[in-house]
Amino acid sequence: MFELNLIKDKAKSRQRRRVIFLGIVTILFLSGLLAIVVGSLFWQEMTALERVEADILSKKASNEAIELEISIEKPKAKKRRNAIIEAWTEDLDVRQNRPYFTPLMRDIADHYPKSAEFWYNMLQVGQQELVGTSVQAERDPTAGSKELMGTRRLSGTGYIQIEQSDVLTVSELRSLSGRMQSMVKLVGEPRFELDLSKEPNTIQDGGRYVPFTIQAAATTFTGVRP
Amino acid sequence: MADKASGDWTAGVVAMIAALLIGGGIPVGLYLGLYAPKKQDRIDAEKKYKELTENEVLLFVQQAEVMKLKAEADEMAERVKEIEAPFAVGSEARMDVPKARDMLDRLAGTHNLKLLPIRRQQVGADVVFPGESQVTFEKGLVATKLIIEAQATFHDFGRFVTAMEMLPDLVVIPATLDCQGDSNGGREHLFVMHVYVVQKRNVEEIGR
Repeated sequence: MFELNLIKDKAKSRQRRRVIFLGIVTILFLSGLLAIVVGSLFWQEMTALERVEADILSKKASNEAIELEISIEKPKAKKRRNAIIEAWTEDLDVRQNRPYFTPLMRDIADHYPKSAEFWYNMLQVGQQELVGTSVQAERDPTAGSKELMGTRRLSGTGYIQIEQSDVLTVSELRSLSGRMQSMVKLVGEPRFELDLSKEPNTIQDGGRYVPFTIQAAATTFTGVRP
Repeated sequence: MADKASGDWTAGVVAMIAALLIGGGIPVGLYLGLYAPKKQDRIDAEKKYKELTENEVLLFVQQAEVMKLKAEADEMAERVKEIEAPFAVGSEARMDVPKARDMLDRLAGTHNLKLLPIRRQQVGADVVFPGESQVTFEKGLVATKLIIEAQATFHDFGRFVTAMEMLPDLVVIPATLDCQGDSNGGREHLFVMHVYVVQKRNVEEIGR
């Protein structure tokens, strides 16, 4: 009886050990399996990270290249576009607003006193010098172009035959300057003046020949095509 | 008997629990220690990549703006060439506009403008000759001076001036005019006129 129990205990003990061994082995197997799964996930993440980091590096390099290109090209493109627009505006201004002498010469040729002999000895059309020209020209290299596109001054001398009175002649000259409207835009309204101090002493047939001067003062000017 | 039986299982159960703890700890440790941080790194990296991609889109927009600016500049350059069609081509060697000068000289001939008496004996004297100076406009336009010295009737000279100012393929800006009447009472007077011929720009060089 005692021996039987002993045998029975041994069998139980062997079975118990087997269960424990199998249990431990199963646990370790499952744990290993799980560790392999986690390891493979880690590996997957690591390769994915490497790939993304490589992409980041490449994208960063490409962005930096584009940024560099933009930082160089944009100011250049802006500068050129603005300069070309300014050039075009200047061209347009020069073509549209340049001064013409034709209206002035037409006025000189078309308008004269009908009742008296009248001629010009000399006529001069000059550029208006800017205020403080010498100093300004030194500082501003474009002063010449401003003068060129600006108003002109007119001066001239001539003789007019006075058959009646000086007062009537003066009045006729005033009406003459009133008719010279085309030149107003370029040189201002002309003013005639008799220069009686230079009148020759000899009185010729048909009246006196008295010198006169013509002067025109500048006004704000806008070019008008003749 | 029962105590003995439970005592027989105790060591085994402890061993199993220990195995469970150790065996479970390894994958958990691996998960928390390696996988989870790596995953976080990957998420961060992807976020950064996304930011860079968005940034790239903005850069493409800026690049498109640059292209637009260039296209506008090219378009304006064409318009400048168009508006400057009647401007003269300057001589590189000296301050002169040879073609424009020849054109004005021919125009002077057709309007009966003669050389001044004092210049008639000079070899190769022309009514129109270079003034050896230029003016520069604020935005780079250049005009070259020409001098016209002629003897003519007022009407011939006036018609010449009108024809010169109306030339379709030249832009001439008159600067000064000096008319001296014929001292002998004749009809032909002396004219000295300074004009400026506007020159073409080098459009490709503008703003570069």
